[in-house]
Amino acid sequence: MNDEPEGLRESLRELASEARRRQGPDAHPSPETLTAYHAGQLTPAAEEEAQEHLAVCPHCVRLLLDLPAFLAVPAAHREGPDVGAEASWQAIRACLPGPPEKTGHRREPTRARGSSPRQAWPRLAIAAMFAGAAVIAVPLWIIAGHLSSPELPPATLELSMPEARRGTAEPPPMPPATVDSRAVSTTFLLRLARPQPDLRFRVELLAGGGANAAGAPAGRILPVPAVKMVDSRTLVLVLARRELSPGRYRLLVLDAEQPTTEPLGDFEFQVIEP
Amino acid sequence: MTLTSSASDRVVLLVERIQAGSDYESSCHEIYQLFRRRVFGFFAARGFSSDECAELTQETFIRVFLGIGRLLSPPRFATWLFEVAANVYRNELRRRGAGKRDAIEESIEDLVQTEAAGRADALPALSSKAPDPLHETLRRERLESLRTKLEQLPPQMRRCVYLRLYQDLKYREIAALMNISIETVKAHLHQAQKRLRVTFSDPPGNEESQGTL
Repeated sequence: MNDEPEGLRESLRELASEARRRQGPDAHPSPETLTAYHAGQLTPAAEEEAQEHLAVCPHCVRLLLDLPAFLAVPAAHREGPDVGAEASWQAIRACLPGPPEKTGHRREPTRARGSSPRQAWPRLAIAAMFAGAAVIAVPLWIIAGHLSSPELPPATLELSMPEARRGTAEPPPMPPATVDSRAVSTTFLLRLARPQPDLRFRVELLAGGGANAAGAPAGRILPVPAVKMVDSRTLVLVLARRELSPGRYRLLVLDAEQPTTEPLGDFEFQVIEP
Repeated sequence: MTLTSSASDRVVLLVERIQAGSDYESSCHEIYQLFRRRVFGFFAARGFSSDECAELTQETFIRVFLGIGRLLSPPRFATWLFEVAANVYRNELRRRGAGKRDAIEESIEDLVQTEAAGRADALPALSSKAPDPLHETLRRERLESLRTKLEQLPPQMRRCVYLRLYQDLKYREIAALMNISIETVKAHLHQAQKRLRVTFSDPPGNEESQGTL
């Protein structure tokens, strides 16, 4: 087959396009698979499959070729000024969920390099001193706390809309989720029932909760700070302690273009004062 | 090339602090400062505007800080961050309902070919741009011939041909991607050239050009 380079290239492009169609529209390996491939952690069969896809997919090839540079650390002095980073950080900061909940997966911090059990005794002695002081200080702090209502660390509350209900029977009413009024701030993760790509939304916070006789949400509308959509089903907003006094609340997620239709999300919670 | 040892240790320490809830906000901030440019660059390399890059970078970090409690291996943080950014990127493509940005070349061509074929089927007499039947027959024959020949190549050799000719990759890029040596890549392409019986020059501007595959 004597062929002009452009003709051959054209034919290969067509064959590659066919191969991608055969693999299906969502056949791209996940980013997790691609990084595992890069690390040589796939089984031979999975590796073969990934290579077969890579041969015909410039998109995944580009991701993989970019990975080594992404993992490398550039020298700090080459970073230069970073305009806009601080403003962006403030927006992220507003969405910080607070320290993760304690789970069984928690790892102990790694011991610093070079430390050995023999070097550990001075730290143990200091720790013992602190523990002794804590035995005395904690009861005093608890007593003082009862008097001054101390702040608690930021909390996270995940509220989900149930999937579309089947059948006619209404599920039994669930008690609303609760928020401790002493938490310095609460991050709300609002999970909608269905993915809403391209959603232009508006969120309303109603103090009072419940519904009026006509079924419409009742209560006073309060200002809501910036809400961020982190994926097609999840919205995040952070409410500070000062914004929530004890009582019941509702968060309504509305389609900004059709605010009069049924809310896309309707979440109820209660702020309690222990 | 991976994270240097001291920088890597620092990142591990910061991730562990965030997971343990100690110095939470300052550790998050430092992680953001360490990695922000890389994430921004990741999106910039994919053709997003500066504003879009800033928005997508922000979304990536929000997801990272929401999910960091589930990261079981802090030394894997940079790899995990890359995975999160890649997922944000794919979601963005899906959200735009296009899925086209990743294969503009293919999509536009497919679109043009489909439209041309549709027009030719519907209005053969009126369409002045309908493909010449002889040309079309030759094209199909050439395609079938190439398909048959490619199918007869060993899989790794066939992939090297695609990566070299279709994706215009350099030998070293193919070697890195397929996890084989550059010599093996060259040997595969040399063999493929014989079996496919093709002779042609490399794309212009390719410094590894040797006048053949």
